Amino acid sequence: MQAEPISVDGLVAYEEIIAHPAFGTAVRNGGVFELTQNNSLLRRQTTPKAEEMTIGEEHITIRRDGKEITRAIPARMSAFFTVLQAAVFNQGISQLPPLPHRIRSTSQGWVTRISLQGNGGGSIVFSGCGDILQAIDLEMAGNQSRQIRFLAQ
Amino acid sequence: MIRLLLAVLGLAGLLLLSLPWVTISSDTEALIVGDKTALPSLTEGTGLDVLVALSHPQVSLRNKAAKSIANQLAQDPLVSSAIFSTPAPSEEFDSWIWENRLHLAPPGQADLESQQMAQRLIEAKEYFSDAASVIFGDRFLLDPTGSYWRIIQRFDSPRGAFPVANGVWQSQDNTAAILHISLAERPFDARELNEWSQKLRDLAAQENVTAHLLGVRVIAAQTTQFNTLASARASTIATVLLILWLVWSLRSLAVVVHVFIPLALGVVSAISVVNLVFGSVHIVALAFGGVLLGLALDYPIHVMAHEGNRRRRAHRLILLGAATTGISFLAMVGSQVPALMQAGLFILVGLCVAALASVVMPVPPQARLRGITLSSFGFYLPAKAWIETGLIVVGIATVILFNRQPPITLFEPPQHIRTELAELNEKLALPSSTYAINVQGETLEALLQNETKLARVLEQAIAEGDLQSYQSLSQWLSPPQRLNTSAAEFTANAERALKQAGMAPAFAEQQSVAFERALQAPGLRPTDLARFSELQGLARRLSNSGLLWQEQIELVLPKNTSEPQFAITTPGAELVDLLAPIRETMTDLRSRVASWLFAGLICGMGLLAAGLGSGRDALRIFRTCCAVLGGCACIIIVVYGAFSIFHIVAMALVVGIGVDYDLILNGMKDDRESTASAKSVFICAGSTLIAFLIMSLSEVQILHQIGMTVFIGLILMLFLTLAQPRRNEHQ
Repeated sequence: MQAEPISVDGLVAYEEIIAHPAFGTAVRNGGVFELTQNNSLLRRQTTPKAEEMTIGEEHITIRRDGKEITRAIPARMSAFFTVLQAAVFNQGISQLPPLPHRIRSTSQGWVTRISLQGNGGGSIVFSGCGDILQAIDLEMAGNQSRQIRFLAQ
Repeated sequence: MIRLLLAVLGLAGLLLLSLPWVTISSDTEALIVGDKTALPSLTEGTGLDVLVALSHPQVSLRNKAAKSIANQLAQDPLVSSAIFSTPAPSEEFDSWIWENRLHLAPPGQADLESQQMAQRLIEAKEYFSDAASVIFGDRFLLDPTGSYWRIIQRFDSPRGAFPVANGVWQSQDNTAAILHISLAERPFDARELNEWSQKLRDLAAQENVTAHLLGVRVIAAQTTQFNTLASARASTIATVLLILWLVWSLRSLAVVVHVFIPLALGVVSAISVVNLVFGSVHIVALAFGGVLLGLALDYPIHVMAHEGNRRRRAHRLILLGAATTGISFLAMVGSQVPALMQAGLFILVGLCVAALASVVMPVPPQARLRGITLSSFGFYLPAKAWIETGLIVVGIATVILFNRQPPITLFEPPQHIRTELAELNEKLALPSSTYAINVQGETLEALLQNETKLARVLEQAIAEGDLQSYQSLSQWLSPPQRLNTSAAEFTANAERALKQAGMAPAFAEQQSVAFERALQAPGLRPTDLARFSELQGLARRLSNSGLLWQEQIELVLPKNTSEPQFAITTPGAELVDLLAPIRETMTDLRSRVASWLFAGLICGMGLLAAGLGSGRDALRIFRTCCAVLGGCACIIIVVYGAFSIFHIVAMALVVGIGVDYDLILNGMKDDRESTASAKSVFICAGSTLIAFLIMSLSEVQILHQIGMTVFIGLILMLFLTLAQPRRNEHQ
């Protein structure tokens, strides 16, 4: 199966909804994903604050308020970034490394879940309809979640 | 002729037999007596590190090259690791930082009040609009004291670290990408290292970037290669000129071969005996073996210059001269420095075997000498004894008043390597290799408190432009503080803070669990330094003797500043000269060489007196030798500013040569056929001057120093030997 988010002019619009037990209301971020010339995933956030994040193999580079910070991706988060990079552009979910998962049909389409070892029992949930990937949801220990919804723009 | 041929073949066989089991060593520890820990190591720790600057004006191009080269080097058996930026912390270290946050960056009392905690929580929630919140956001919320946030801030802007562009380290002047390579722990092999360096440079060239390498092993290998090539060049030129000179003087190539046989036998025997006694032959002993060249080549020439009874007399004088010089050098065994002990034995064995071989070997029938009778240059020097005494006094006074500390590098890198290193050092703004600050404390807490006080001085120095940056433990580890808040109080404050921040108060329960776990964590322990590779850099600076914690704080000095311009008065802290132990070692080495050689010289002169049966003659020779040493000392100090051990050994060689010339010239001059002796001395002096003049022109410091000293000393020695104190003697 090949499932990809809707892309317009090489850009994939997204909305990120972050839920955390400490929050009363979820935090929402928005922007577009873009594939750079050297095949790194660029996350260009526009709301609530403008920033850019380039996801490399082992590092993320964040540019915000004229400053640039490069951070090594810790082992506990590497699976999420790998999956995000693979799923957003062209590679499709089926090209991800073989991980145990099962596709379930829902009234709105399909859902599949990949359990992550070494991440406090977290998992990544993909949901979509047909060959359109609609969302990636990172579910973490302690009732935290981070859902990236791909928008039709 | 057949005998000569057999001798040559025998010698070649001996060489082939002995070569496989001879081990040549360049171990720096062989130059030290006692504690050897202060010396830089080629086999462990920073000795295995290599920094590579990949220069290109375009950041993306040089970054791509850095990543590609690092990937290729990762497969190289000589490389343990190749990285282009700080690697992600391991899961274990990541957890350790989190668990120990209250020890690593302890909160102040205000950080535990609800108002401050509420402010932190608001900031933490806002941080969720930052992409990096996926990594740290949850922990910022779980720790409202701000300890974890402070640690992450310190990691984000580490002092003295290389800047990063797109995940790759960059040089401070933003012209090069940086690779850090750790070499595999293997025995040092200069050729292997040079081939590896060249391969790395070729890889860089393929990626259209220029590679500059900085590392102890790489520099040592380059220096060794340069010295080997330069030495081979000097040796070849000297040998060719020497052979031409000898062919002209001895009129036959076969006789020239004959002249070289005792020298070759001496060298082979010396190498064999030293290898047998010490298990290997140190490169310094081999370098000092040049002494053999200056002396052993002369013996067969002196033998063939004389015939009949005069030859037997010459035999006795040659053996006496060899024993005198050999005993003088053997005294170096007393220095207890392994390499010098080897050198002493090497020279004694080499000289004695060469002298014996010269005496025993039959003289070729066609041997005839061509040359000038040196004694015809004899001249009358009034008050020669007083002039010689004056030279001795001036020499001693010059040494006492003007001699400086010896150069600290025995095998100094050649100029082009030093220039490249200076450029690279400027590009990378590396910590000073000369000065650091040692800070001590009885406990880790005391150490950090002292460092915190010192940090004020250093920050002031940075503000005043006297210091560029420094790296110390206190920059990311605060002194431990006693927390006066109970778990119940913390929970209550956390609940209030969550309410004030407009967040869910129930989350306080999770925060309290995390807080209580962090309180139980032990903090930084000595074992952690070895446990985490992430603390490797810190572990190199930090040491714990059980009674004392000590950190060596590295300083990056401003450009064109060689020493710190600020005073350190903080308790427990002192400015240290990192080169002092090496300087002390070299000074100790020099005084040991000088004192033992002088002791050997006195013993040698005693032997000479016994051999000549005349204390007066021996004293006369001793006075002339000391006068030559005095004159040499003056010239060396004027030209070089200080004696190195090679100057001293070369001066001892001058004495050896001087004794031989004096014995042959003055020991045979009452004979009617003394012109033959004078001719042989002329040929020997010519060959020695040619060999050592070529050495003095070499770019290799050791060769240059030995060559120049022998050349100067020989001219002085000839001058004083030819000078006659009485008017009628010089004719």
